[in-house]
Amino acid sequence: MYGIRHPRQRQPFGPLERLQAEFERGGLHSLPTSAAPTLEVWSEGDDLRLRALIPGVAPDDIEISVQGDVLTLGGGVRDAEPRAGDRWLRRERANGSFTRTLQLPFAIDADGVKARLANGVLELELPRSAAEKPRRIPVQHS
Amino acid sequence: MNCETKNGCEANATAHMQRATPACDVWQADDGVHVIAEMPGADPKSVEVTVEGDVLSLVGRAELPRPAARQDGGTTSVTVEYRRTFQLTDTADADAIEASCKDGLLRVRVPRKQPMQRKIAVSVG
Repeated sequence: MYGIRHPRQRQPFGPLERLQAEFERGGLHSLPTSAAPTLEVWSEGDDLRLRALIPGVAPDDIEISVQGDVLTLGGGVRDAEPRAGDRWLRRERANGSFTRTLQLPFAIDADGVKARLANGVLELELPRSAAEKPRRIPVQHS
Repeated sequence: MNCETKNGCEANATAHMQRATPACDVWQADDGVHVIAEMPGADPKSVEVTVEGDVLSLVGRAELPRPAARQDGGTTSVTVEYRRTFQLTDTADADAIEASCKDGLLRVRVPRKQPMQRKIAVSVG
């Protein structure tokens, strides 16, 4: 019924290569297991920041878990799906649930993780575990 | 800071502005054609749905903070402009289009024009 003028898809916030470039030292590995959302992860001071584009996901439908240096994001989209008898004209969006697991460069203080979701963008503050923060070793004078 | 070219963004996008084509689902139902466009980060107040001639345009803008390591020129955020156009057919009722935006999804319904019924008086004799 409709002609699409600009069918070509673009990555709005950059491919995984750029994300990995942010972690030259840490070695970030991504293991998408389903319709994985677009992620950006970067370091800020000692900590990490993560942004996930998850349009259509309600706050109650997100699961975030942190264990050591492994972060798992899960969620699902509850859309008004076409009913029987309706006809698809174009289907470009990933649907259903997703799970994404990231191995981070260091362990995270799970109690200090902060999450905000607004307009389909999830932002996480991931503080580095105190046990892994660099410590200054005093040198004793002999 | 040359990610626009590497990522395939439009050539006229600036360092602080990226343009993106939102992924869309489109289906035809009894009550018209439904469109769902993904615009993560777009404030519903920034979303514009317009019809000009036979072209339906969906536009939304998202302002996202930038990582400190990628900030340049003092800019702390990047604006992403989502834009997508569809060509309407003659059966689309452009005056009755409905749109709503929530959780980064723009939902649009384009009803079908009701068929015009005209009763023709039949003269006797």
